[in-house]
Amino acid sequence: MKNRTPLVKIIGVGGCGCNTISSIEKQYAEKLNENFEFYGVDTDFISLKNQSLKNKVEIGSTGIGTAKDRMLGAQAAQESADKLREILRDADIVILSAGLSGGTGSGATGVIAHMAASDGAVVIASVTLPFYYDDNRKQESAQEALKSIKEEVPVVMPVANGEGVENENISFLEVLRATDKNIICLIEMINIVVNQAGYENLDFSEFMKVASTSGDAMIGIGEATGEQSLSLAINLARDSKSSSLSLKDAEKVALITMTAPDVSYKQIKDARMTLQNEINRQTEVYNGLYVDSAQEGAKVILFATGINSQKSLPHSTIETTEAGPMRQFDMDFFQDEGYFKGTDPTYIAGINYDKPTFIRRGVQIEK
Amino acid sequence: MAKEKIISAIDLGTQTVRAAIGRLGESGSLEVIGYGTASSQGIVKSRIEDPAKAAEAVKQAVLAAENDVKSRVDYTIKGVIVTVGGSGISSDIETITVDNNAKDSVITEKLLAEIDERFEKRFTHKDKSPVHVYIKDYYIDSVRKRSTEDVLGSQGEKVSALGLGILEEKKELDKIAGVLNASGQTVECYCFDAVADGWAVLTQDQRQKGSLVINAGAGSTSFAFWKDGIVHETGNFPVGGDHVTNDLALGLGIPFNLAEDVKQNFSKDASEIRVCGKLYKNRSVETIIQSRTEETVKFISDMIKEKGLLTQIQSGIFLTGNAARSTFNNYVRREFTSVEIKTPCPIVPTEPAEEGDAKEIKLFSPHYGNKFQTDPGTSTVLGMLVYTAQEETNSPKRKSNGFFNLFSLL
Repeated sequence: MKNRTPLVKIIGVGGCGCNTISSIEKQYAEKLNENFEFYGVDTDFISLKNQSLKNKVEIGSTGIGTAKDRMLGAQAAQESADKLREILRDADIVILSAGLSGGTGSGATGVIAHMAASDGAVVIASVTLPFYYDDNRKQESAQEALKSIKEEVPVVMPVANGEGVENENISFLEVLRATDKNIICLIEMINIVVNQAGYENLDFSEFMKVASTSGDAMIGIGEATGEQSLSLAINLARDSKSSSLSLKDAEKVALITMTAPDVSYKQIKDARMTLQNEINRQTEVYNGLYVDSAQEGAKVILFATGINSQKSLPHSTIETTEAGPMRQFDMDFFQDEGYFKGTDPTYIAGINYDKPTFIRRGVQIEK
Repeated sequence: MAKEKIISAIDLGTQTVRAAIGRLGESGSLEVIGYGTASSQGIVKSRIEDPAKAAEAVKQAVLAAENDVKSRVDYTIKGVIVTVGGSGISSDIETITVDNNAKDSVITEKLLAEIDERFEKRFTHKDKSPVHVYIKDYYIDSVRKRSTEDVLGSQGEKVSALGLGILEEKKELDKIAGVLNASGQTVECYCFDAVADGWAVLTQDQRQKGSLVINAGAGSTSFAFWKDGIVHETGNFPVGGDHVTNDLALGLGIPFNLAEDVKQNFSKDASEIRVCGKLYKNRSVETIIQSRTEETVKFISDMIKEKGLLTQIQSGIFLTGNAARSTFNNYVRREFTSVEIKTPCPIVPTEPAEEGDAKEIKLFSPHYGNKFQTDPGTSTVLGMLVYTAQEETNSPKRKSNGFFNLFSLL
């Protein structure tokens, strides 16, 4: 990316994904700059034709869908690789939306993600799992699909249909639309990062650092007014996420705060303390504070990544020695990377492998 | 094949730079006629950190090999095959499909060459270049074919190929070329270290049956899985023996060089380790080594399992590199209980093999006693000689036999 606004491509894959992106495009496309592009990708010609999306890409050669076979979904994406590469071209961020109950979203999402990542884009996938009352075959198939997508996409936001619904009398359509929230929040956050200057700036490279941390991810939005509006908004954002993932397990968090110009120091301090209580001590937090005179009270968007990353917190299988706890000067000493100091750190899935394993695992050493 | 050809290879190791010179004879015999080493400088974690120092180490190793070869042949190293490894290495699998427009639908060399060209483009990214390309399978009108021989001459309208690309960062390739140029050499070709090892330590039969070569080096740990005579999968963890040493240095509060001595002198049976007149508690040393090695082996094991390779390893796991005979070996045995673990050295008999398959390269050396047979660290440099020589015997020459960049650079 050279001296241009980052290009964000939002792609719905399969029927469910296209429905989501189509609905979001309708609501938001006109409010966004041209650096946000929306696409629908499907194997089902009729379904795709009926979508209101501006950009549609039919993949595969049959035009009749995949009969819920994810291998056919993957094959269709491979067959139409040239078309897909064309729509992915120059993207800095690719957001993929798919349902994992069928074949196209389950199979093609990983293939598209692989192509996008190969071209240097950061890829985030928001995927919808079946309702808890759906049959076992559907659940198992979705879990298999999720596993294979995770192999290709470092950041996945899984959300089960119906999860977090408290009022069961709301419309079914509203429940389905609840999963759109992940992508809407993400778009809103990227839009702020890319187009606004803050008092405390969360720049694009910081956002990319958070967005490229492997593992499950979650995003939430909260808005509140009153004296404790900021703290309240943070709590609302935490609770608004449409999944059961916990902030405590996150490796990185990006927090966008929008407030009225008269926000007090106390409000900021209390809000940050509220967040500190919600996260792990090792979690890296990137803050952005944006003041808007039109903002009533406070609004926050909270994006957490690196959750449930298999490699994020390796647990030792070896016994610790009987030595006492480390003293402070020891700990400071170990922050140094010794022989590797000055070289590019060996980061994999957010872990710096140049740091001694016994330190990362909390193993005590007798001296 | 030309009557006689001399080839040279340089292994840019994190601990040692090795240069080797081989003479390829008419019958496929490859005699090691020159060998030289130098302590590595400017290379950390298998990557070039200080090009000037690295070039100096290359010069010394080349000089040593040239002095060694003098008594046998008048030869100066000019163009070399050189290793790549470390954090920038990655692999990628892609499918290419081409329509066969020939009237008789017969699949020709030209069509397969077109597939190779398309793989070249597909695996070339803005920041990475392919170092090797292997075609794992062909499909003719959706029917699977295992080898080029099965494909050539047969008929079909659509030919698909599933290819493995082993890629390296362009900036690292440029750095390596710069170092070699600064030491008076030209890079003719690059080779991934674990692939090179496979050419040195595996028999032709083992390369066919399913063998996993793990190179446990000072700078990184990498692997290549061989089956049907080609590489099917590779993986890399940019952590190696130097990380163990660094952990010891930081854990015990001692300099890196002293920590290396402690590591070399570590034995499970002693209660204390004496190095330079100072005693170190064995238990502390073991804990530090154990946590790092266990983590490294687990990381590699997870990659192997994720790629579905475990059940395909029929001939065993072959551990190469300097760390192969350290405690690393024990952890690999503990992790892979169902597979035979071997710690081979390069297959370099002192006498040339009797006439056999003319297409198979037969490495030998009457000049160095059992030097190579006892040093697993020499696998990479000797494997690169075999790798280059093998291409000389291939006819027709194909990029997708793994010799991708020989064509690009020569």
